[in-house]
Amino acid sequence: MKGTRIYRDESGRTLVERFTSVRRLEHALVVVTFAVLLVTGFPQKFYDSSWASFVLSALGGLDRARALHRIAGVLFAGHAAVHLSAIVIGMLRRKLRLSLVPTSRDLEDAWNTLLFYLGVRDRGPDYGKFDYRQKFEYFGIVLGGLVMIATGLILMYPGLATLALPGQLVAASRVMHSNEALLALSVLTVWHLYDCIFSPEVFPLDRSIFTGFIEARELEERYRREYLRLFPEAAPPERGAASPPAAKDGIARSHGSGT
Amino acid sequence: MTGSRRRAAAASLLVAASLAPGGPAQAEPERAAAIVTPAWAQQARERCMLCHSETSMQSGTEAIPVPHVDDHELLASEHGGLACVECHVLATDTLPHGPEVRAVACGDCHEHEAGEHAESVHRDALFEESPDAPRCQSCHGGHAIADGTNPASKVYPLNVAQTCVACHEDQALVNKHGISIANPLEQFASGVHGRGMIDSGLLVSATCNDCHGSHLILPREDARSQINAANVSETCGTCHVALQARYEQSVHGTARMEDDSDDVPVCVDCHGMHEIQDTSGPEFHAREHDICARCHGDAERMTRYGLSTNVLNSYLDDFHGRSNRLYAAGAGLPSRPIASCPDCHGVHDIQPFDGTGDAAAVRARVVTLCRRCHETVPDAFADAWLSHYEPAVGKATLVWAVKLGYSVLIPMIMAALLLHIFLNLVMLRGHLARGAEGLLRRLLRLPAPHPEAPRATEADGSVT
Repeated sequence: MKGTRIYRDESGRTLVERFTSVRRLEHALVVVTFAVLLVTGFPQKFYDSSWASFVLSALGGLDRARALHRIAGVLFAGHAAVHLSAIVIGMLRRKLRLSLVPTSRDLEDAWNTLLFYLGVRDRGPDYGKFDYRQKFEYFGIVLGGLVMIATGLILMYPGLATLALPGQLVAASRVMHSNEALLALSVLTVWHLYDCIFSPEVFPLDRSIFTGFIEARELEERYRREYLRLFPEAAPPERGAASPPAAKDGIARSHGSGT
Repeated sequence: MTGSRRRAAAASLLVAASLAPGGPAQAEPERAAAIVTPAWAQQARERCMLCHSETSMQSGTEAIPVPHVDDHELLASEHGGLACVECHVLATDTLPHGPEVRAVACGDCHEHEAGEHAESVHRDALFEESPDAPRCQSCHGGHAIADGTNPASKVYPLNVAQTCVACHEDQALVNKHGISIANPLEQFASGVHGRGMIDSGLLVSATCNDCHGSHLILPREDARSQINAANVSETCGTCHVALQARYEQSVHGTARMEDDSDDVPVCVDCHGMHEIQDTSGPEFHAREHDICARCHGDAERMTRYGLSTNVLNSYLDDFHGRSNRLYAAGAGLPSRPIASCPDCHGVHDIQPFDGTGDAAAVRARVVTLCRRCHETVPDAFADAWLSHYEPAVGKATLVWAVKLGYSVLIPMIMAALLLHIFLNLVMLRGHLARGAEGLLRRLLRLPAPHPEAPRATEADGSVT
């Protein structure tokens, strides 16, 4: 069973793997497809504005933009299919830790965070590998992505779609595709970019998605439950110990559990 | 003087008799020269030519300039058989002639044309005896006058536009007489008729006089004018016979005939006037909806007929409309045309929407229109188009619900996220100041002054 890689660099810092190379590649793919879909799609939504035709003519015209949009959409859909089937297979073979699935604990965390923000609690809750905000974002992109894929396919093949579905669904899909895109963009720009770039906690950039590693110290600070899972030796009394005890030089594997 | 008038009248009778068997169509330049002129007319002309074949004459020691007349040119012209005095009816034997000799009496023979000309828009200038007034010879030429079928003629179809713009693009004249269009040739040359006539030499293409008339040119406000709105379809129909018939059967044509209101479009309201565009290209097709929108987007005009102006917005809001809007705005051109108003409603034969029968019958009619482009779609495809309706309960309920859902969901989610960020920042306001300071220290590579110093120093190194 594959566990979490832990690494110690030359300067003695302990680095904990947060994203495997596959996940980082997936993120890069989503960034690229999302950007292409955005640039080729939004001028069609805001057809009335002057920048729309400017962007489209820069892309070589509306027809070219639509072709690009469809290619990127098919890529995105293919990626989603691979991603989700890998999860299903991983679940069936019990090889995957579903660290992004929201649980009742996340509701509790959200509530306690709110209380902390409002000054009712002294400190916020300890989060697992991903906090409730990140899980919300992940589920947002998965569910939103599925909506975009389904409505996008209907819009791509309206004649085929109406063989089995009511015609009004094509019109509804257009409205849905357009609005869901706006929602996705809003969540992305407002929350994801805040969380990963502009939040004072990470500014100027949370680099873990690019390096794959998070410093053990940061892990302890921001995702304490995950830290304690990986370093059970670091019991609460020693919280904030100078160096986490588990890691050997080079690459080690933690006792990752398969839940 | 009266003697010369009588002689001229007699001469024109004789000339008419001599031309009658051949008719004007055979009066080609080479043959015209060969026409045998009545002896007296020839004598009369020769008498004038004694002086007018010269350019100046000696009077004592003084050289007097003489208006030169090219005998060959005159003989080769339509009027080759006439004596000078038949046109220059006021000319006398008194020498030198006075200015009256310049007057020519075209109307003595061409009575009908002269009558029309005197009623035309050119008449005001004529009656004021303005030197700008276009006279017969301004358009037809003088001694070298040729028939309109003669390529050398100023009124040969290929030459008409140039003849008219001699005045109509003369900006001094345009300003002086308040002529509304200052560059008619430029406009005409960019339109289909001008391109046909000028670029291709297509004689059946329309030129100025085909629409405006020749002698009886009238302003368009005049009910008798060929370009008066009430007469336009007939004027265009002179050539476009089938289109005129279709238009007159259409919702626009019948409305125009019932109620002669300027609300109802005639040919030029959609096609324009001098700059009529080719309707077959993708550029035109992508902009076509704008033409319909000029009236159908005008709320005041549409309420008079109980029509909705939502047709334009609902079209633009759908796939077809926004595509064409983007193409029209410069986003390339479609590889295959995307439906515009006339693709469903028709062009010249537009009929009112047929809402008879039950919903299924109406949708069945709609889907036949869809299949003009989307050949193989099933019947259910018709409902993909909301028939210009705004989604509402009972009319595209699903679309209405999706719209409403998102109009609630998006602001709610955004408000929640922004509030969350705000609270997070409030909580972190201490961190914020420290964060900015920390960043500054990192950039300036300054050591941290805090007790937390070891941590800050460690963070100094870049994460690999």
